[in-house]
This record gives sequence, C-alpha cells and structure tokens, in this order.
Amino acid sequence: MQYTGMLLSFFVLSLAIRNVWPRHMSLKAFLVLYILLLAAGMPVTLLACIPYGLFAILAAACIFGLVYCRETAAQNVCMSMIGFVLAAVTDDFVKLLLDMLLPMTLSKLPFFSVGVGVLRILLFYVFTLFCGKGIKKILLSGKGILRFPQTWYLADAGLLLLTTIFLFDNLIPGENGSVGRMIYNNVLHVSGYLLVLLFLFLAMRRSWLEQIQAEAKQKALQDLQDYTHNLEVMYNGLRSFKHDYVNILLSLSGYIENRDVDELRKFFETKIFPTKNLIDQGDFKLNQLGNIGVLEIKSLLSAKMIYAHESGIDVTIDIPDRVNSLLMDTVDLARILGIFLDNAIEATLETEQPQIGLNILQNQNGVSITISNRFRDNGVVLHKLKQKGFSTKTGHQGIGLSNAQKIIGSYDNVLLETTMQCGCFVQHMELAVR
Amino acid sequence: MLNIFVCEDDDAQRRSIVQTIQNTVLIEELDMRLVLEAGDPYTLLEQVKTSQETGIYFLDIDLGSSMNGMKLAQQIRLYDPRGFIIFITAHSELSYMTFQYRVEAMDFVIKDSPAEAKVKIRECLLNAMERYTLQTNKTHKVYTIEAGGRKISVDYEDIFFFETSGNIHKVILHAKDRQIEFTSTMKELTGALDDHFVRCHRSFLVNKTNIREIDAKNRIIYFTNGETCLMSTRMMKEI
Repeated sequence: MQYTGMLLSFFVLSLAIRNVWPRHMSLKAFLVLYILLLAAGMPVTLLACIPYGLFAILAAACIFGLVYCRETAAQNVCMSMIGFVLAAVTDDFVKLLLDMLLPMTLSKLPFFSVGVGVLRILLFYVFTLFCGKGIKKILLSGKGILRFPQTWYLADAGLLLLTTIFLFDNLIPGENGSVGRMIYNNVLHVSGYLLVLLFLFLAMRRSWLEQIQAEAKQKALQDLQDYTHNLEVMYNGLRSFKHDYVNILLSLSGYIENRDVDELRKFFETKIFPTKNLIDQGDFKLNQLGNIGVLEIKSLLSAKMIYAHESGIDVTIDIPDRVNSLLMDTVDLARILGIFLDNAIEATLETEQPQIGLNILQNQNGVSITISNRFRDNGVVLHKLKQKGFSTKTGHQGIGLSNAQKIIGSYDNVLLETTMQCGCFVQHMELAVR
Repeated sequence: MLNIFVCEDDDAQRRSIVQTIQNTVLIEELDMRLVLEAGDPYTLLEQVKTSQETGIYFLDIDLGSSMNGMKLAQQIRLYDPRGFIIFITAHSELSYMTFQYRVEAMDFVIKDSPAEAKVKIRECLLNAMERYTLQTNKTHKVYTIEAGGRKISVDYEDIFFFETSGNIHKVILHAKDRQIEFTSTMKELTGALDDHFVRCHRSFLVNKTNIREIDAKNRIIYFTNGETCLMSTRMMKEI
C-alpha cells in the first residue's frame, strides 16, 4: 500500500511537470522523468531522511531539465521547479475539494475509494494542464528580459536557494509555540533572502544590458568608419575624374581643330570610353543609406553592402525616403538583418552573376524591408531551408535563420514573408506602427 | 477590350513608343486599343477618371511636370485598381521593387537601348493580355494579409496549410515557394477562409485541394510540394 502510494504520488508529480514543461514532452521523456524521480525519491520512504530525499528529487528534476531539450535548459529547470509547487498546491486543492463534495461515509467503501482516486488524478491532470498553460503563456512569451537565458539561470538559482533554505535550514520557531509568531518570523527571514536575490538580479540585468549596448555601439562605430572610408574613396575617384575631364576636353578640341578623325577615334576609344566604368561604379549607391536615421542599422547595412560589393556582387540599394524609426529594438533588428544579409551574400556568391538587392520603404503605417538575392537552384525547397538545424553548408549548425525567425516571432507588429521564385530568394519584413 | 495610355513628355520618344505599341497590337491581333498619348500627366489623368475599362499605362518617370510618373501612377491606381502600369525610364538606378510595392507596377522598360525597349514593350503587352484574360475567365479566391498598411495576397490554390507558430498569436502560412509568418489566430483564420480549409489538428489548418496523400496510420498528411503536417484522430473524419 505504501509503495503504490509512492508510485502514484511520483506519477502525479511527473504529470504536473509535464504540463508546465516549456516544450511538448514526448511519452518516452515523460517515462524517463518518472523513473528518475522514483529513483531519486526512494530514500524518502525507505530511509526516511526526508529533507535530503526531497532534495534528491529536486536535483533529479534539474538534471533532467539540463539534459533533455538543451536549448531551453534554464527554462526547463525553472519550469520543473514551478511544477513542484503547482503539484503540491493542486494536490491539496483537489483533496480538499473532494473531501468537501463527497460524504465521508462513502469513501470508506473499497471500490468507491479507487474511483475517488482515479477522479482525483483526473481532476489533478486537468487542473495542472490549465494552470500550466496559463503559466507558460505568461512566462514563455519571450518578451523583455525573459528572452535572455541569463534571467532564467538566475531564476533557477533563486528558486533552488529558497528550496534549500526550507529543506536544510530549519524554520524559525515562534516564541512559546505561537503559530502566528512563527509565520511572522519566517516571512521576515525569507523576504530577506528574496531582497538579496532581487538586488543580485537587478545588478546582473543592468550590467548585461550595458554590455550589449556597449558591444553594439563598438560595432556600429567600426562599421561607420568603413562607411566613411568608402565614401571618401568614391569621392576621390570622382574628383580625379573631374580633374581629368578638363584635360580630355582640351585634347578633344585639339584633334577636332586638326580635323584628324582617325586620331580622334583612337583617342576616344582608348581614353574616353573607358571612363564609362568610372561612372558605372557610381551605380553602387551607398549614399542612399544616408536616408536611414538609425545609426546602428545604417552602419551595419553599409558594412555588409561594402563587403558584398567588394566580393564582386552587383549590389542595388534603394531607400527613396527618409526612415527615422524602424519600429523594432535596434539590437534585435541588427541581428536579423545581419543574418539575412550574410545568408544572401553567401548564397548569391555561388551563382555566376551574383546579385543582391536591399530595399527599405517608408509606408504610411510602417516600414517594409526587402532583401533579395539570386541563388543557385540546387533543388532545395523552401520548407527544408526553414527548418532548424538545416544548413546547405557542411559543418554549420543552421541556426542563423531559425534564430532570426525566433526574434521576429516575438514581435506582434512584424510580418515575415519568405519567397523563392525564379531564381530569386526574397526575405520581406513588414514592420507596422503599433 | 483593354485601353492603352501613354504618357511621355519627349515627343520623339513618345512617337517611337506609340509606333511599337500599334505594331504589336496589329501583328498579334490583341484586343486592345490606344486611347490616349499625352505629354502632360494631367490630361491623361482626366481621361482615366472618365474611363470605365481596365487600362494599360506606359508612363515615363520624369515627366517634366509638377507630377512625376510615380505620383501619376498612384493617382491612376485610385481610379483603376486593376490596371497594368508599366514604367518607361532612363533612370536605371531606380529599383523595380519600389515601384512594385508602391503602385504594383507590372514591369519596367529601360529606354537606354531602343531595340531592347521595343522587345520589352511587346512582352509587356502580351503579358498584360494574358493576365487580363486569366483574371476575367477565372475568379481567383485570394487570402489577403494586412500589415503596416500593406496588403499581401495569396491565391487559395497556392496555399498548402496554416500552422501555429512557436510564438503566441502568430501563424505561419505555407504556400507554393512562399512562407509568411504573421499575427493572427487559428480561430480568426477558420472564420475568414472557405470550406476547402479544414482544421485537422490543434495547430494545423490545411487546404484539402492540395493534399497529395494521407497516412492514416501514422496520422500524417502529405502535400503536393512534399511538405507534411500532423493530423489528430479526433479531427480525422473531417477529411
């Protein structure tokens, strides 16, 4: 009887954890979790050293969270601890509910108690399922600081610390066994810990945000230097052409005065016609980037475009209007654009006529950004490309595109359209004013 | 019958364009007629306002007037939303995309080389005719997504399925060579689409017409492009 109770309570606990798990948990993983919890929880009943046994269960859940679904490891641990609390609360709640609703005398009957047990588990499952959904919706929305794994690790640390306090440091007893006094003392005790945690958290958050900003600034500055340098080169080229222009005119007039058509033709073909290339280079319209009012984005785009141009790609930049706000967090947008442009450059370099287009339009209710590139059609279909872990390159993880999509997904006001038609791959983002 | 309008401020160039158009219409026996050739955008706009039929518009971008080709096209769109707008210009640096997005321009003729321009004009006319017949013969059902004031339309027949995204309130549309992730919910979609679309799973809404095969044992649906999606037992009978 004792064993069945144990098996059942662990089953119920694993159920609760499954319901709050960040991802969908397969049946196999669920069974593994159950067995792990059982193995860790054995000492509780057998050796009756409760605090250590409970801690072993907790440790088992943590290890499971870290090993299974590694990319959300921090969330897993945190959510499984929330699962513990949810399980305890729900179990008590369901028990209380059934005790209140069902008459005492009935539960003495043997068959009836089995029915009540099943009903209890069912109620428990439904209740944790709904609570789990709600909790997941709030905590896993990926908004703000919840997006960073650091936050989750810190939350894990905090929760673990709190549990440890409860398990190993004995609760402070009230004077003369007064319950009210005991609660009062312990609340003070725990809130002290919580305050310490809060400040730790704030400090970490601050330093981390600062670090991100500093890195972005540094990068932007570097890119901007490249941009100015490139503009200077272009300007110098034009200036030397201006200088030559007068000389060319003078020589032309000399030939014309002598009516020496043959020499004139020779001069035109060798000296004047080649200047066409110089003018052609002006087609590389980096100056349109000047229409972007967000410094970090401008510098990123210029760096990527200069790189593309230098790699021999035909670059078209078209930004006809001034764009002052890009309606997204700058760091996020820079990451997305960086990934898209890197992909575009790599893909188009495989073709014989590499070509990239960047188009940013200020619309009435938003901004649309389009990055297009020619690609070599080697039979890869779009939905394969979009899968996480898919890469056309060996030795690459293929997480770039899926990362970009994840970031875009966390914005309600951003639409992403990906098309692959007529040898042209297009990523089109529509950013709407909220 | 399609009406052709030409707006170009340079007389010599306009004559050349009109000549090419008339030759093509004659040789290919297209159901079109040249209604107006003008140098002044306002004259053209007046005519468009009174016209009831769909038009093909060949517009120069730099019109030497207070109204340029882009603005003219935007005005034309107000009166003829289904018309075919083709820009003729020497400004090769203006990218096609801007025109496409702003006024849904059909094509772009660069007049730097007259011989190529002629070929292109012919192509444009044939293309417009083909699209026009398609439009009138078949009523395409289209799903339209609105974002930031822009509308993105996808033909029903191109749609394979909708999938809930990992991010809440977001849905991914899987279409032919195209994927769009946008803000919506399955509930909204089910209401907006017709009965070709069936909810076969908590997170999938499929287009029945594009299903190639159903694996009932493993509960997987295969689409004509090789994509797959899941199916739940409860919703299986619907298909």
